Amino acid sequence: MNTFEKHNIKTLGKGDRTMLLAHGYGCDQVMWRFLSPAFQDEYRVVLFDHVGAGKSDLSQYSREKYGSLNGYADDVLEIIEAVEGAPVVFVGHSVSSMIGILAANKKPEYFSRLILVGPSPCYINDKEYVGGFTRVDIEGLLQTLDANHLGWSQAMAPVIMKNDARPELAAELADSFCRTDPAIAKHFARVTFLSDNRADLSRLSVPALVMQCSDDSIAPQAVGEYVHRQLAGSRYVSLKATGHCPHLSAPAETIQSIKEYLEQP
Amino acid sequence: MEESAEELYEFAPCGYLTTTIDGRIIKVNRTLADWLGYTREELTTGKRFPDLLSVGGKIFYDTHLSLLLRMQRSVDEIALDLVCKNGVSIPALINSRQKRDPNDQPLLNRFTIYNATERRMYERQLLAARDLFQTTLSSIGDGVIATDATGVVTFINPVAASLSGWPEKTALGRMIDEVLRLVREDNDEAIENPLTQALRSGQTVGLENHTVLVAKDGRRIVVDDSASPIRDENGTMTGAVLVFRDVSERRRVQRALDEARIELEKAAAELKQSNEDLSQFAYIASHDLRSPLNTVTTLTQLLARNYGDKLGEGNEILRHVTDATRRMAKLIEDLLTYATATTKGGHTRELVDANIQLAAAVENLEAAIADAGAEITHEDLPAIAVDGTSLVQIFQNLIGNAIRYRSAEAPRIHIAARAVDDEWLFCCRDNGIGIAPQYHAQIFEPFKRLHGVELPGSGIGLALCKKIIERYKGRVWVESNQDEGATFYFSVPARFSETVS
Repeated sequence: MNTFEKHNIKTLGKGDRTMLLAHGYGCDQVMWRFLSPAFQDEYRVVLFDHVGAGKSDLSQYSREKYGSLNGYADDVLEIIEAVEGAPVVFVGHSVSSMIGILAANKKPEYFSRLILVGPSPCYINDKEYVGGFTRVDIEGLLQTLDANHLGWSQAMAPVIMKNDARPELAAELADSFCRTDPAIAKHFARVTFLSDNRADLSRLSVPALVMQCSDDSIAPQAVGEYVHRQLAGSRYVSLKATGHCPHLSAPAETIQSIKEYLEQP
Repeated sequence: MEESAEELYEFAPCGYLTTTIDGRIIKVNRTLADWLGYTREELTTGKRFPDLLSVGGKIFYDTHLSLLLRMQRSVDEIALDLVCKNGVSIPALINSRQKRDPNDQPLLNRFTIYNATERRMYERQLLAARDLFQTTLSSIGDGVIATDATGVVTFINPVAASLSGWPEKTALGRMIDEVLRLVREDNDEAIENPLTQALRSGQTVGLENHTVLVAKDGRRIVVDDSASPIRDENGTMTGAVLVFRDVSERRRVQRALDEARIELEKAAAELKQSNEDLSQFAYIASHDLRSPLNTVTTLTQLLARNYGDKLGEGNEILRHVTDATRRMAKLIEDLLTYATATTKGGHTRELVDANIQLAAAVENLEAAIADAGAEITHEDLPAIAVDGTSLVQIFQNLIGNAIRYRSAEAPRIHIAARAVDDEWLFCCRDNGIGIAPQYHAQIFEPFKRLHGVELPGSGIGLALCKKIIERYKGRVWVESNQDEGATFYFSVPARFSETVS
């Protein structure tokens, strides 16, 4: 299987060094649209879709492999090898920041720096640890996904399935941002929000930046601070941007923070 | 009457909400504030839109809705639950637009919010119905493929996927002819798919006989079944569904059955021939034996009459010869009866009154009954579908045996019958010497005698009864113990049947 097709890999820019942008739960590589141009002079920017998201090859999705974030981490290593980019600057949003940490624990030499946007090693509250959610909350999310897939899943399903016989349908796929097979979306939601990777944090040997938004209801400030404490030698930046996607809501501030971090020795 | 924009906004039949790009609420109409039970001030002093949502909705807002708005300016028909101040959830349907400045920089997000309590209930029912439909079609043993009106596969169940060799993922979106290749069994000519025919004709179409499905990997599977058009509530054809099944196994079993039946018929014919030969032989043998025996009898009588006075003690020997020839004549007669039992009778279509036949048998046995001082009783017997002469033979043999194998007491013999299912079950009970259980089976075989020569009898009687009864698909058996009398049972059908051979 061709890794480029499997992950719909796109490379932009002409820099010597490689920056790998990994999208988070719910969307695809399109979410980096406002951020990626800022780095194309200095970096070769590599974009990709996780299997199951965007225009990745859905036939490669397997509940076994992607039953834990390790399956996604292995894909990240495979992508770095395919684009021959090691060591990369890895920018991971949300769940992809944890995927990046898992990948860097497997092959530290593939990474020069990790930039973690809204990371959370565990979304579920556990005794003293406050992740922000309970298991019941995550069931509520799955119900919300169900309610919102009803309208389009029937019509979209045949389109989403790879369709060589009817290329005219491919055009409709252009507008598929955030849309994927409902069953995969639910499985990824479960894996994302029910994972507990707190024990993996202290093993990280690659330098990292923790970027924390104010008023992020997915990854609250306490979680960002926890990640920073657990990652030896990490830096922490608190953004004015609110919400969970600063690269969309406040790209300028996000770019500025990343650049400042990368300029530091 | 005039309408003001202000009033329309405040009291519109839907909720209006405006937020900053990062979700902070800056304006809300009265309708929505009232629904939620908040004052306007409570909502516009620091609350964010996701704060009004259920936890699942909050995550959906931050991972989907806000991103979609940023990317494509508008998102419609999003289903989320709003949580009122008192904790009650309101299922809502939300449309949204993003206001941008001339440089395409986002300024505001606007939301209209509709109460969707009822609609959400319908959707849940719809989901449940779809789940049921999916589960059902995935669970049944037949292959099911559905297409839209142009023949593009929209559904394929696991059985159809496995038979055709096309996994669901690759089959969906393809034309039916590509997924389901059908050819004639004998000459491999392509057959028009019945589903295509159903789409064209609007009628239900059965598969032709001898249709072979050529799977993606080349496997050939004999299939049968049919296609039907799918119509919406207006009668417009929206697609078609094909249901088919693998009949290879049924075919194989059918073929094996056919072969077995032919073998069986052959064996039955051979057996019949052999039985006929045997009967014929017995008939000829007994018939041919009769005439020399008659000669011996005649000559013995002649000898006794003409030379009796000269024979002295020889007369004793002559009496033994006479007895022996009489027994032999009886034996030959019984053998002849047994041999012809298959060819005679059995074709009567009239019910026979068993009371009358029993009386005839008793009359035939009059001398023996008188000699033994036997008492014969019976209940009212039914009319049955058995040849009269045969029934007399059965009664005569059973009663004759009961007298012959009597105990020290005078024989008491009782005959009764009762209906059991479609049969009459007769019984003939006696107070004779009884039969030990180990002999119960063999007494019905020809020439099997338990008592040797000390008691009279040819050894044919019960075998003859069995032969007659089995001709009527009946059964005969005995229940008895040594010294306790015996009860013989036999069953005969209550009605005429074509199975009588």
